[in-house]
Amino acid sequence: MSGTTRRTGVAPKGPSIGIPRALSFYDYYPLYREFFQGIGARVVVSRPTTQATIERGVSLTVDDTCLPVKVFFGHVAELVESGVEYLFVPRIVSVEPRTYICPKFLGLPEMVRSSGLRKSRLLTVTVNMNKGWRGLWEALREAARPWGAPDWRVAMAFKRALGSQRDHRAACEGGEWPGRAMGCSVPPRRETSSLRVAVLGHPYILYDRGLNLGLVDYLLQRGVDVITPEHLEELALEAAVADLPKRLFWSPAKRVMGAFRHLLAAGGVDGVVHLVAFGCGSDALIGELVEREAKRINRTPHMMLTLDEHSAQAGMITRVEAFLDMIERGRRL
Amino acid sequence: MKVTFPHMGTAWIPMRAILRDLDVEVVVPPPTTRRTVELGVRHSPEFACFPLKLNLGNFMEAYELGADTILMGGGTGPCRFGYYAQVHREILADLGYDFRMVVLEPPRGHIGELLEKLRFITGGQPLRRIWRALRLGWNKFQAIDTLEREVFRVRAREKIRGSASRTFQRGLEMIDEARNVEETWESVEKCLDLLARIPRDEDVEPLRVGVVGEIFMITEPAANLKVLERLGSMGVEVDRAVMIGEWIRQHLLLDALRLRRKKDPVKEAAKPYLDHFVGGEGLESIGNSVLYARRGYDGIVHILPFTCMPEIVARSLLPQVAADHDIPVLTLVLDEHAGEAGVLTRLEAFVDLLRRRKEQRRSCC
Repeated sequence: MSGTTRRTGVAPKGPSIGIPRALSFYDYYPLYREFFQGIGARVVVSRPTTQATIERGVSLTVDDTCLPVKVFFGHVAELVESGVEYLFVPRIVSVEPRTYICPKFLGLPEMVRSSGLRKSRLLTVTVNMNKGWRGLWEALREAARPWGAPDWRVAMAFKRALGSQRDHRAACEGGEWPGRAMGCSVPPRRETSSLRVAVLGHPYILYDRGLNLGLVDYLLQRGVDVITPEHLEELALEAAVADLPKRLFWSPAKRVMGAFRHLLAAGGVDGVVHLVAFGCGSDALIGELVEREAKRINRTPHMMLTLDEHSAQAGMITRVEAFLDMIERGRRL
Repeated sequence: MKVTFPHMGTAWIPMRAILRDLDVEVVVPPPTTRRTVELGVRHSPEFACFPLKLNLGNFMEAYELGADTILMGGGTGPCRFGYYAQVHREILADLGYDFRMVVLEPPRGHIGELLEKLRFITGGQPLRRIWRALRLGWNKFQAIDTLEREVFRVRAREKIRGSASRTFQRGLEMIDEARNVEETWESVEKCLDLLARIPRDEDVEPLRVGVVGEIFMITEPAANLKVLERLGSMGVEVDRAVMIGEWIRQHLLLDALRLRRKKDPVKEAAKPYLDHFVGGEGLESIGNSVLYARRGYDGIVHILPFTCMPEIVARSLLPQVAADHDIPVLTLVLDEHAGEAGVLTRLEAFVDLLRRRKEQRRSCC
C-alpha cells in the first residue's frame, strides 16, 4: 500500500519520501502524509509488518532493543531497498511541555545511520514541542527543504496537515477505530459479545497487527467492545493523571496511565488488557504501577501481555481467550 | 526520624557525613550482598533496570535496622531513574513498610526547593549549618575521587596484588571518620603517602582501559561485579568516565550556578555519532569513548543494566565509534542474572586481546 492515492492539489513530482510504518507513524501518519503530499513529495509507506519485517529488524539492531524499534528497522530496511530517495526519521524529543517520548526516540536517527543502510538519504529533523506547536512547524519546514517548495506552499501544507491530524483525533474520540487512518481497518466481527475491554498500550503496538500478533483483531472479531487510549479525550487522560504524586515525563506512558485511571474511575469496563513490548523501559515501570493500582483499588480483571520477537500467536490467543472466559464466568456468578 | 538512602559505591560516606553533621540519625544500609539483590529482585518489576532493584533491596535491609525515612534522588527524565522513587513508594507500601519518602528533585532554576527539603529532614536547622554540612560532604566526595584516581594507577602496577585495594579501604575508613574538612584532606594525604610506598613494577607499561556506561553500574562494585578492581588486578590501569565528585561538581554545582561551559568537550566529541542528549549517561558514554580513543587508550569497557533505555542507544552506536577509532569495546549488560565467572572470563579474553594488539603494534612499528 502506498499513501499516494489521495489527490491533494499538487502533483507529486519531487523526490520520493519513505515513511516507515512503525513508531510515530501510528500517531502522526495523517499529519505526515498531508504535509509531504502538500509540498509535492511522493509519499511511500512501507508495507504492514510481517514476520519477515521483524526478522529483518532484529538482524539490524542490538539484542536488548525494544521490539517496536526492531520492527521500525525492518520497515526502514524495506524502504531503503525499495529505493526511496529520502527516508523520514524524525527525532521526536517531545510533543508537549516538559515531557519526552523515550530515549530511543531521541537517538533514532543516529541508530538508523549507524545500521549501515546507506542507499537512501536520511531526512532527519528534531521535533521539540516543549514550547508548543512552533517546534513542529520549524521541524517540518526544515524537512520540506529538499523539495524546494515556496514558503507559502509549505505553510499551506502544514496547515492542512494539522487539520488532517485534528480530524483524525476527532474521529477517534468519536468512536472510530484509531488504526483505520493507518491502513489497519477493523476486521469483520465473527461473534457477538457484550464485553467491554480496555486495551492499553502504545499506538505502535495496538494498531500494528503484525507486531501484536493479531491480538487486538482477535478481540474485535469476537465482538468485544474494545476501547483504547486513542478513543479518549486528551483532557480526560490529562485529568486522570493529575493527582499522581509525580507527573510522568513520558507522553506515551502518561496516556496509558491516564486511560487506565480514567476508565476505571468511569466504570463500565469489564477487563483491562495491557499490551507491552519486551524491552520497553517506561512500560516496565508503568505496567507495575497499573497492576498495583488495579489490585489495590479495583477488582477489575487485569492482564499484562509482553510481546517479543519470539512470541507465537497461538500461545497469546490462548491467554486472551482464557482471560475473556474468566471475565464471563465472573459475570455469571 | 532515622534516615536512609540507597547505596552507590562509596557515596554513603559523604552522605552520612552530611546528615551526621546536621544531627540527623542515619541508617546506612548494610553493604549490598546477594541477599540485597534477592530481596530487591523479588519485589521489583521484572524488566525494571537493575539499580531500581538494588535500591529497593537497600531500603528493605535498612528498614530492618530501624530506618523510617528514605532520602532519594529524583529527575525529570527521560531516564527511568527520575521515576524510581514513585515505584519504590508503591512497592514498599504494598509490602507494609512504613516509610516516609523525601525525594530530592533537581532544582528547576533555583535551589530553594532543595534547601526546603533539607531543612525538613534536618528539623529546620539554620541555613548556615546546612551549608557547613554540605561543604563537608562536598569535600569528602572530592577526597574520595582523588584517592580512587590514584588507586586506579597504583593497582595496575603493584607487585603484591591487593595492596592498593587494602590501602584504599583504609583510606575510606579514615575519610569516613574525619569530622571536618581539614581532617578529611589530612587523611587523603596520609593515604596517598601509603599508596606511594606500595612496591610496584615501574618498568611495566600497563594497558589503559576507559570504563563508560550508566553511572550507577560503573560506580557500584556490587552491581558491576567489581569489574574495575578486577581489571586493575589484571594489570590494567582503568579510568572511570564518571567520578561522583566530578559529577556533582558538573551537574549540581555548576548547573545551579549556571557556570557550565557552553562547549562541553564530551558533547563535542560525541557529535559525529550522537547529536542530542538521550537521557542518563547515553551521550556521555559515546563522547567519553571518543575521548579515550583520542587519548590513546587501549580499550573501552561499556557497562549498562539490562533494558537501560539511554545506554541501549549508546550501545547501538558504539560499534561505529570502535570502527572509526580502531579501539576495541567490550559491552557488559548486567543484572541479577550475571555470573561472576562469566564476567571474569570475558574480561580476561578482552585483556588478552588488548595485550596482543599492543604487542603486535610495538613489533611492527
